[in-house]
Amino acid sequence: MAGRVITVTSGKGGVGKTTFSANVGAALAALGKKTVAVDTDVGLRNLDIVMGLENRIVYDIVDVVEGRCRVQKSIIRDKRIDTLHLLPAAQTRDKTAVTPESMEKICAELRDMFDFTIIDSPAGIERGFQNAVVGADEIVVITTPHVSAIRDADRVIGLVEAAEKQHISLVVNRLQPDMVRRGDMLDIPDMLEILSIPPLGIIPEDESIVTTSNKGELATQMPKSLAGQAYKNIARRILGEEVPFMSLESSESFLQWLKRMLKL
Amino acid sequence: MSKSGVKFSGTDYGLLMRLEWETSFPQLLVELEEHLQQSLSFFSGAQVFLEVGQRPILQRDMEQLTVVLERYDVALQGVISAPLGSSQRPAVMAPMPHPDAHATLHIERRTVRSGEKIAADGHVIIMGDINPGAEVIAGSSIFVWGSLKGTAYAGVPDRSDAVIAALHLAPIQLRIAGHIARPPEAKSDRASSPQLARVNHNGIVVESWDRHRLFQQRGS
Repeated sequence: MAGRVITVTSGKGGVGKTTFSANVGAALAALGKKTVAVDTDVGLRNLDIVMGLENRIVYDIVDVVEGRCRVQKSIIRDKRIDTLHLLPAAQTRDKTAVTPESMEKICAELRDMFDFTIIDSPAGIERGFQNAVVGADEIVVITTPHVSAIRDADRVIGLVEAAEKQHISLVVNRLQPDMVRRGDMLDIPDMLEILSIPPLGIIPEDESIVTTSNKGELATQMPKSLAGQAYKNIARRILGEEVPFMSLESSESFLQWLKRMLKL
Repeated sequence: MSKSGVKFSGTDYGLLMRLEWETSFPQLLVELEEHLQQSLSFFSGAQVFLEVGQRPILQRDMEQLTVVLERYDVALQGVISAPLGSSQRPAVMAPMPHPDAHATLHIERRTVRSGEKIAADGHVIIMGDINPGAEVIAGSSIFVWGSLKGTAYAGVPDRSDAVIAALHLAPIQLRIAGHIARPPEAKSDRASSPQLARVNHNGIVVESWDRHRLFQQRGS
C-alpha cells in the first residue's frame, strides 16, 4: 500500500495547523481511509489535546527516533473513529531530538501502513519545519486573511518550492465573510494573487472550533459546525472529488445555503 | 525550406524580428543564424526588437537567442509581447537593457517569494511577480514582467542610469544607486499600467512605461 503523506504548515503560529490536522484527519478517517495524524511539534505538543487523546500517550515520536519502540507501538487509535490514529510528539524534548533523516524513514513506514499520513508542522521555518516537510508527498499551506500570515505563507511556499515539492495547495482559515463584504478583510482573490498556488479550501471563522478543540472533540463530528463542514469538504477534495467552495454568506443559515446549492 | 520561421520587418522605430512559434525553438535558432549569415553586413551593428506575441519564452531559449544575436553583433533592444487575454490591446514593450552592452543578463522565470533574494551584477529580468518581502538586487537595471510588490535595488552601488520597470509597480521600497523611494501612502489603483522608475535631478521618479516614452528616451 502506498499512502499519501500530507504536511500541514504555515510559517506563522496560531493560524490553525493543528485544528486542521485533527479535523481533516478525522474527516478522511470517517470516509473510511486509514489515517494517522503526526505531531512534529516536539516540545510543544498539542495535537493530542485537540484530538482528546492526551491521556493515552505511552510512547512518542522521539521514542521511535531513538529506538526505544517501533512506530506501530507509538501510534494511538482514536476512540471515536477506529480508522483515525495519532503519532504524538514528545513534550519534554526539543526539535533537535528528531532529524530530517529519521523523519523521512518514519514517513516511509507510515506510507506503507496508512492511506493518509497528515503531518502537523510546528510554527517557524527551522528544524521542526524541515522535519515536517522532508518526507511529504503533498504540502498544505494554511493562512488566515492577515497580511502577516500571508507574508509567512509566501515565505514557506518559497521554501517548499525550493525543496522541490510538487503538490502545494492553499487553505484560508478563519475567514469572516461579513468583514470581507465590508472591505475590512482581505478577499480570497487577493490572497490567491499573491500566493499563486491552487486553493484547497476556505474555512470560516467558527466559535465551535474553540469549544470543540478545548474539549478534545472534533468539529467534523458536529453536524451544525460550518468549519466542520469545510473540513469535510477539504477531505473530499483531497480524495479527488469536485466539491464546490462553500458559500460563506453568514446571513444565511446552513439550511438556506444547502437549499440554494440544491436550487430548491 | 519554403517558409522561414524568422521574419524581419522594418518599422518606425527600428527592425522588428518576429518568430513563428509553430517552428520549434532549436529550428528557429538555426534559421535565424542562416538569416544573419546571409546578410552579414546588413545586420552587423543592427538593433532589433523581438516580438513574441502571447507566447511565453523560456529563460533557456532567451539566453540562446541572445548568444546567437551577439555573435553577429546584433543588439536586442526590446521584447514586445501582447498582454494575456487580449490581442487587441496595445502591446506591452520591455526595453532590453541595452546601452551597457557589457552588463550580464540574469533572467528568472518564477514568482520570487517573501524571504528570497536574487542578486546579480548585471541586469535582472524577472518573468513573474516579486512578492512583498522578496528582494531583487542588480548592478544595472531591473525589469519585471509581472507585479513588483517587494523591494528592488537597481544600480548597486552607484549606477544612477539604471532603471526599475514593472508591468505593475507597487513596491515596498525602490532603490537606485544611492537613492531611496517609497510609494506614496495613498492607495494606488490596482489596474495601473506598466511603470518605470529612474533617477533624475530630484531623485527617483516613476513614469509610464509605454512604448512612446521608451522610444523618446532612446531617441534622446
